[in-house]
Amino acid sequence: MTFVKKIIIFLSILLVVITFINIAYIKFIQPQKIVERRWVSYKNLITSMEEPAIDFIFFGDSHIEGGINPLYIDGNSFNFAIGGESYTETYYLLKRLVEDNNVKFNNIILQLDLHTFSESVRGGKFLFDQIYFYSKFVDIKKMAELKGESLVSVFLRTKFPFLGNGKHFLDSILKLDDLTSMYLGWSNHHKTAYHIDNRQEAAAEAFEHYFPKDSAIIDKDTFEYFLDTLELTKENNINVIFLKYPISKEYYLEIDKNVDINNYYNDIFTEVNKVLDDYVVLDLHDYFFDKGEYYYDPEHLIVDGAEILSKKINEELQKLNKEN
Amino acid sequence: MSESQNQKTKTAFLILSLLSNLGLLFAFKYFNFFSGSVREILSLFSIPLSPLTLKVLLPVGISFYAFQSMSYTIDVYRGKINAQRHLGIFALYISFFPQLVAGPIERATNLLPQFLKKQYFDYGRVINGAKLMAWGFFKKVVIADNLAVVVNTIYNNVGDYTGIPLILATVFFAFQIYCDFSGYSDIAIGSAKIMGISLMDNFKRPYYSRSISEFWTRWHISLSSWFRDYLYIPLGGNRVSVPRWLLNLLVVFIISGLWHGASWTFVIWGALNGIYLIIEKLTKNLRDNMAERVGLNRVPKLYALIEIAITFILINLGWIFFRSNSISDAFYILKHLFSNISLDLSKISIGTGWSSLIIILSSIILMEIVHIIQENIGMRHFISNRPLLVRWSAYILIIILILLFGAFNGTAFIYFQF
Repeated sequence: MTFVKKIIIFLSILLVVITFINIAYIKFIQPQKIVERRWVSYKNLITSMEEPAIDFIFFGDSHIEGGINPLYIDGNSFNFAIGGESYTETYYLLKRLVEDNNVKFNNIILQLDLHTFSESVRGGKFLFDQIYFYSKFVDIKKMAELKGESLVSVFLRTKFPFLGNGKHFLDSILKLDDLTSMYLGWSNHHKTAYHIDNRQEAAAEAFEHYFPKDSAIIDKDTFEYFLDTLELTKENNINVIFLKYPISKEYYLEIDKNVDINNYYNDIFTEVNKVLDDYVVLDLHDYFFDKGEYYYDPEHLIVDGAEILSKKINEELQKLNKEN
Repeated sequence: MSESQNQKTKTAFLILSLLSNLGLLFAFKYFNFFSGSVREILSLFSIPLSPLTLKVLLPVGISFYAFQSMSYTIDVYRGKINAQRHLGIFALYISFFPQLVAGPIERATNLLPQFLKKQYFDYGRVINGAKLMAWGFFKKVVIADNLAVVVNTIYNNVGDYTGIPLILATVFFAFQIYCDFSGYSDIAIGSAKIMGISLMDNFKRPYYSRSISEFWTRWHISLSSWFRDYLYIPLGGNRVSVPRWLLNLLVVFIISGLWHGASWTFVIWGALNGIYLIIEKLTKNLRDNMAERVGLNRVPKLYALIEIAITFILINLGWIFFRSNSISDAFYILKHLFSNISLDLSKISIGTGWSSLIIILSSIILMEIVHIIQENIGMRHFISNRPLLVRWSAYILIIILILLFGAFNGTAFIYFQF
């Protein structure tokens, strides 16, 4: 056998093996990911309706994902929030949702927190963590540009999601995968409050995480996508409700020590006012200030806390409905 | 320098060349360290000083090519090689891309003549080079980069840990740095081989060493032999009085530590290895006698195993200083290595899950099986005697393991910083 033949045969076999593993990953592992399960859950909800309409759709990061349970919200609602989500991802996801012309969205609840635009957690490199999922409706070139990665790298990761993810096969075989149960997008497996002796220290650590030195509190690109998201809601006649999510008192005070909170929100709403004529703000930052037992860390609620918060939000939303 | 018949002129050119190499190295790598150290020393005597600091980026791999350049000059001075008069060939010798940024630190006697030879395509050589590269990538992206997650989590927050996690992170770092650096060397040697250039071996299964001195003949061989040939022997090596000989050893290791980085942690790491070696030399007879009395000589495999284990532990204690972010961190680790030992790892966050740990440990076991084969019969011989189906399955398996379990997060090679 000549060396050229040998190399061709070897590479062909390798390609077949790679393709087989990739297909196995896409077919068996990818659907177990929370973004995919949430999408299937949403599709099931829509197909179960004769005239698909969502009264309240929630977007945000892990705060909203684990904090708002649609079970306690009257009307059709769905929680599209997911850990680490930025407005860049929210924009593309909402754009994809409104493209389904047969679905009517009445109200959108958008998270507006102090860390929402933080460069250190929402900057380019953190975007599209679930890159295979987003590649179904976001252009690969755009993702590469936003992430600051090479096109080749993004292409490989979107077309071959198994790359570097072999541990998920092992998780699946050993039943170690995180298949947290989900209800209309809500998922939260934290049942007990945090037992940290020094909550102040925990709050300081959380602050360090979201607001490190030399990192912008408002990442320009993320904020642009936030405004684009608002434009999208306007174009589709969706009422906007901003939600300032509850955080622990210690954490709020830690931020307050270092950030001019009023100024932060003033800057944001100055820009919001240029896009939207009408919107509502639900400020619940201090809702659990004296209820440390509802947090599993300085800024995330446990299941019981999520239940109380969801009921409170439902009350507020129903009030708004009546007013309108 | 090579044309001059006058020894003084030759020496002057040598000094000029060494000073320019060392000057660049000092300016880029050590200036701020020395400047900061002077400030700290003066502050002990209440003398305030705001020293000059250079805000320059450290050129990647400067320690490697500065040393390669110096070895050329010294070899020309010693008459071991003729001066290279072709600027392109000389530039290629200094900047040959596979080994430019992290070695192996080549010698002009080995590398320069190869650049003058005409190269032909050789299927066997290309395949051997590709196999070596694949093995290097496996060590780097599957083992080293996955271990880095655990090591970084613990070493960057040492105050949060005691006992088992600190031991685990230290042992993991031993494997991380080996796989990272030897992985790079394999990739460099393999890619050079594909182009017809043979680079020197840089690692020979160092954790199988039975003594510290053996370790340093198996670890970063190109640097150890550089220091031997261009520093230790010129200092007199072991052909001087015993105290001077021991001092030579210590000096070489301290400078070797400083070569790695402009930080006191590296200096202590180097000094510690020097002290190990001195104690090893001084206690050789005592240890031999003890082994004979206990009867270890009669069970050579057990004797070897004990020596390998002791050497590994000592090397690991050194790695604590090498990896720690500060001297205080290193002493914290040493102090808390055996305190509050709890075997319940489920309550400790080490930055990774069970499946990743299983992958890491399985990969290390696979690597050690390969090492044992290499140590005894040689991997090339072992593989080439198998049927085609077995060989190809092994190659495909390695490639698939890299693609599946590699950490493709752009973790740089540890030695790039040097």
